[in-house]
Amino acid sequence: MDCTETIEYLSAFVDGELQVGPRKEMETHIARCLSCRSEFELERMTKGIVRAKISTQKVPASLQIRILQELEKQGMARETVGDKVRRAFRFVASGLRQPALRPAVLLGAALVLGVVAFLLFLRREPAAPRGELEASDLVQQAVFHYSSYLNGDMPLQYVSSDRTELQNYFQQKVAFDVYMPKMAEAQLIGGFLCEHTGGKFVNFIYKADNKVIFFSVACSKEMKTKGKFRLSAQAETDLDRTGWHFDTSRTACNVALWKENDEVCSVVADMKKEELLALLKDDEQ
Amino acid sequence: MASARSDAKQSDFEREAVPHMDVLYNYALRMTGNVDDASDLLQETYFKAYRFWDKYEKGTNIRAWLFRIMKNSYINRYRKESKEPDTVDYDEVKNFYNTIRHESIDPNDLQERLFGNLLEDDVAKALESLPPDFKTVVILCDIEGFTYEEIAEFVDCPIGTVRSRLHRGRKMLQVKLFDFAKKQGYIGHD
Repeated sequence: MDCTETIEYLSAFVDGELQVGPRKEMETHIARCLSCRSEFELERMTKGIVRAKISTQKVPASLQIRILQELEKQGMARETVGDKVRRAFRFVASGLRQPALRPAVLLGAALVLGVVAFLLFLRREPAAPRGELEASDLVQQAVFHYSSYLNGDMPLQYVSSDRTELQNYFQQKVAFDVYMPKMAEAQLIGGFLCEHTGGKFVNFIYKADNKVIFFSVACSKEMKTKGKFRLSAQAETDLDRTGWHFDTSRTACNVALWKENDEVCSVVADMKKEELLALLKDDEQ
Repeated sequence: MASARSDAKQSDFEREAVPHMDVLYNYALRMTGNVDDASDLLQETYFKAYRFWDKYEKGTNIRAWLFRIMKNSYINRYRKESKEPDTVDYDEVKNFYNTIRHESIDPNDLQERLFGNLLEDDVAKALESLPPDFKTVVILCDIEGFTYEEIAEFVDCPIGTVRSRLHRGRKMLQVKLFDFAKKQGYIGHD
């Protein structure tokens, strides 16, 4: 192997990409030729520096969530409005060409159009996609916001994993104390504010083991004076007696409720009651 | 029922494409040199990939597919000209290396004397300044540890091209690193 060939295959030699034969030839040449040896050592050194000095990073969780949420929204919007409507029209048109099928097809098409129009109507209002919340019960309202977040209907207004930063941001927007649990085992993702019939709720999203933990805080005084939200009698009794109220009647999630001074806090997650409690208990030290 | 198809697409996409986010984010970070641009680039790549998901051939290398989308997005966004350094610069590195080489036998010591004091930031900046084609292969080979065969598939060119780009890319990088080290007084001027 001569110098020209050596230089041509130098990077492959440095990266261990040469077969045994050429590698041996290269070794022999480099051992003899000072100039090629310098080239080789410098190239190996450069690779070594890049490897040693540049660290690899993980995608920030907030960015990953933002991308996934956006994808979900894009996917749904396009499928409903675009492909589906076009496909439906093609189907109806082919039915109309057959006189015997005409009445049935027209009736079917009218029904489908009605449903589509209804769905589009629901989509129009992202803040309350499933219509107004029927019940004024606080637990139901927490579950509603939790599932709205999961469905992508409630985007995060502030994305950060920094507890103080999030707290400061939302504190400016409400008149009550924005309490936030530490939940050392979970990672903070961000928060959003929502308003329902006069009461304000600050909501934070945490993640642990890929599960979303929804935390919401509202002012109990605000709730009472504005009179729109209430706790069930059972919840009031539980809170008085043990300081906690749990709602485990749902299959998709469990809810925990407690009070911090004048604020009522609720947590919703697809976790067992014990798991939820374990996460929250961290805070008490 | 109304969104069964889009649900399937979504879960398919999440299962296949999302696990490669870290590798792509790192590539974006090293190509652009900052977190904001890297985040934008990653976002754009995933949106495009999702939009063209039906164009992806199942069973082929998904990482290579995503990677090509990112590379094209990068090129469209940052069409800036970066110049290859002159060979004269390179001779300076080699001459300097040859003079200190006489004083020491251990190559590790030489590496330490030449570049040991450089910070991650310096190296990242030097890397960022390379022309995209060269920077790409260096990132994939030296940071991500991919084989030549994988890199060739990623950048869509023959293995021989990967090899020569790596060699030239590293030489350009040497010059930049040497300049950094000299400017900051890590190594002597003569």
